[in-house]
Amino acid sequence: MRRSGSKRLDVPTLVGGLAATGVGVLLLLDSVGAIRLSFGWLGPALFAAIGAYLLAAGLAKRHR
Amino acid sequence: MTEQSEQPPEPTPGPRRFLRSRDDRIVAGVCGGLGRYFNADPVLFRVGAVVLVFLGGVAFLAYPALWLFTSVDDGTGEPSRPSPIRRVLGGADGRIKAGRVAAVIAAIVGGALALMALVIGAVWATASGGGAWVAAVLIAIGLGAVAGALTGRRRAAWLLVPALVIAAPAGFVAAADVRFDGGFGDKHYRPTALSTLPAHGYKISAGRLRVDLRDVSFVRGTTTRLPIQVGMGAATIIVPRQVCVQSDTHLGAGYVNVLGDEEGGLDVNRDLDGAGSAAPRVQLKAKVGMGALEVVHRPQDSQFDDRHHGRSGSGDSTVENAACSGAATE
Repeated sequence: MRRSGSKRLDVPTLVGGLAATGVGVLLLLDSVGAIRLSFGWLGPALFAAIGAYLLAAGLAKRHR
Repeated sequence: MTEQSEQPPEPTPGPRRFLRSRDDRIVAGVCGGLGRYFNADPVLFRVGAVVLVFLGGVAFLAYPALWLFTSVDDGTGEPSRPSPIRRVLGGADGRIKAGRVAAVIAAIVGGALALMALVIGAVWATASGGGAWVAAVLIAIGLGAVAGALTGRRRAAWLLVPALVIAAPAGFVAAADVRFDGGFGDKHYRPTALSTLPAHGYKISAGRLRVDLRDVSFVRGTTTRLPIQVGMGAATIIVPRQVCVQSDTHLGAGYVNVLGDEEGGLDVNRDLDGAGSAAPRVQLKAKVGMGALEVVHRPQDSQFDDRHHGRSGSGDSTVENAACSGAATE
């Protein structure tokens, strides 16, 4: 039973992983020239990613 | 014998002790503990902590220090267990053990070196044209964290640390469009003729670039294109007073000053289009990742040249780009 409990979905890590993947895709598109990354794009993207992780972590803590 | 009735002495309250709050906490209970210790509203300390973050970032040091070295209140004013630093260095009993201290120091030094290597590697690879590889590594780490989260492996959360350490500097370098192309250090050029100006312009990866064009004889009615590329650093272009300067400048992050026409910040695009005059023209196409670019008439007008810095003040610098309007004299 304990084993199945430890296999629960870890939502904050899931959100953080998706955010990291998203930022990686942005960097990849920039490096191949598909988009032109600027601070106007990247700043909000990074802050949104960090914010999404903190939000997920906070909500997960509340549900625990 | 008479019986003496001895009453136990009343416990005297010990000295007040600062403990982190167990119940009133947002992050680690430091501000809640401070509020209780000083008998004040913890919100005041939280607001103060946020203000200190922006005033030199003192809170970034003070908050972790208070978290590390203090215990959590068990709800009765007593510590529930040793402080985090004592638990890490000594174990559950709180006694510090030399072996653990050495191991923790080694782990901190190793971790710091590993993080530095990641930052430097991410910056170097992205600026040297390997941005796709950095992005691929970041995507792989992100997908690893996703897989770990889906399978319930809580340790997968640690993958987010290198992800952030790679993403932030690589993103900064990509957004600023920093390119390591053209060498490092201090580079000074003083061409003596138009024919000696390189067709690809002047480049530097990181450092200080100084191009002095005062010995070049520019021809009236002609336009000379001059590309300038700086990855990280500062560039000073010195042009003769009789030359009209047109510029098309892009800075990722930094400051540009073309003969008094200045701007600074992130994603700076600055165009300077000289009005029609018969004066010789220099068409400057400058790209600076992080740093500064200045165009001046005299070395002593430079803000970045250490040898001449502060010697200006004759008032000549107010006659800027006068050749474009035909006001400059030879």
